[in-house]
Amino acid sequence: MDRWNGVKDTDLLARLRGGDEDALSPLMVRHERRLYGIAYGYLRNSEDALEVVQDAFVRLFQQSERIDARAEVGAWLTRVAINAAIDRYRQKKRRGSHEVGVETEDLQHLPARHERDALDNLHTDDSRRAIERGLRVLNERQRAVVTLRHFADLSLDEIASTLGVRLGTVKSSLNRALARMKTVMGEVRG
Amino acid sequence: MTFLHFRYRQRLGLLALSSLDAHEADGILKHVADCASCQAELAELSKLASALRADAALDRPLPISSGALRTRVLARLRTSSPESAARASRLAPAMGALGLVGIGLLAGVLVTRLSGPTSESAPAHGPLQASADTAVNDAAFYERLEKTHTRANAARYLAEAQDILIQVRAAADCPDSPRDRVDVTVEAQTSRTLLKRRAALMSGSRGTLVAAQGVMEEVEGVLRQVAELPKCTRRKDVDAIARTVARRNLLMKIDLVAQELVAP
Repeated sequence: MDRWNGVKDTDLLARLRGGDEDALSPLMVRHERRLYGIAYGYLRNSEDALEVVQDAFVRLFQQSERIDARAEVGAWLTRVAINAAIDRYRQKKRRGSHEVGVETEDLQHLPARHERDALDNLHTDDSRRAIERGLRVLNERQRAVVTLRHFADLSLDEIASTLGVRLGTVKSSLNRALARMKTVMGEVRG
Repeated sequence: MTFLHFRYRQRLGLLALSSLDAHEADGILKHVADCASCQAELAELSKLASALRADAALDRPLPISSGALRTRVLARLRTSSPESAARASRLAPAMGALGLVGIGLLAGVLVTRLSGPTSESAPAHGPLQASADTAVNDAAFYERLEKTHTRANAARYLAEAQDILIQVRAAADCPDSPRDRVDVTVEAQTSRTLLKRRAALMSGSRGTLVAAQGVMEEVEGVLRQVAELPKCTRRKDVDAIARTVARRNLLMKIDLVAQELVAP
């Protein structure tokens, strides 16, 4: 792997274009963890997140010839990963998986006394569950915006660019997302 | 004051997430200093923002090693993009064998016809009866040959349709269009061509493809969807088609039926 030190992503992309599978490894090492974090942040499921990461790298190889030579590989992968995560989430929601698609009303009636003050104890399983409850009431875009802000640490401009929406949309989505999460988690906290 | 209050309040979330520029943040903070309800709201939102940051900062390593991930990705690549090649290599020997059998049978018939009945093959009964038997045998042979040809064509059609169903899933972004649009010009055009071939194939099949009919109808339905896609289509429409294909296990069904069609 050392031989790839100092080789830029764009150069590795050029190699991929030429069909050099070896160039995929350094790109994976550089980006896999970040992509997994984004996918996990959105899906909250390790197996699904792993599938999304695989999808992203498979697409990178398959579509390398079509990617703009000057494109930032990391940004391209982020866009593919978040879209793949949204797709997977939507699929599971449609199938009625118990892990997603819980409506606000349902959540508000769930007994969760043990999660009281979850936000004050951030490193417990309860706090993580509380956040997951909060995320479940968001729509796909709100969830994506929150994920990209926190798990990808993107600026609002970068989020707008990644999702292909306007900056104003990102701002309003983020605001609404936080407000919705607070409402549900506030009830959880009693 | 009321208008500004609501305007500022709507931005408290962004303030809590440190997503405002300094100038705007200053303006809101000045308002918050004099607004008790805004202070309470900001405190709640800040707690939530901290919780999200803490959750995002948790160490979540991949559940498998980098090497294992690479192996999985490469395995997927070998079964997706070079899929046509792999499929072709699976089908080629069977198709080749069928071709040779066909040529051999055809050569046999021609030799028999050109050389006439030999002493060994001459029937014990009269020449009129021999001629009638040969005609019956020829008809049966040609029927078999035609069926074989039809099945091989159907297998080839299904393999090409499978390529389209895979390729459309990986369609590239449309240039000079919104980000959620992908270019499916080639896939749509090829689907239209395939649908025409399918119509010709079925009309001449005379019951040969009954066993494959179910899968062929499923494939036809999906190909029609692809054929009707506009040049720059929405990614979500393509994804919906991909989901249909996955839900019905269509790629696997095509593999099985195609292999069955060319089986000797």
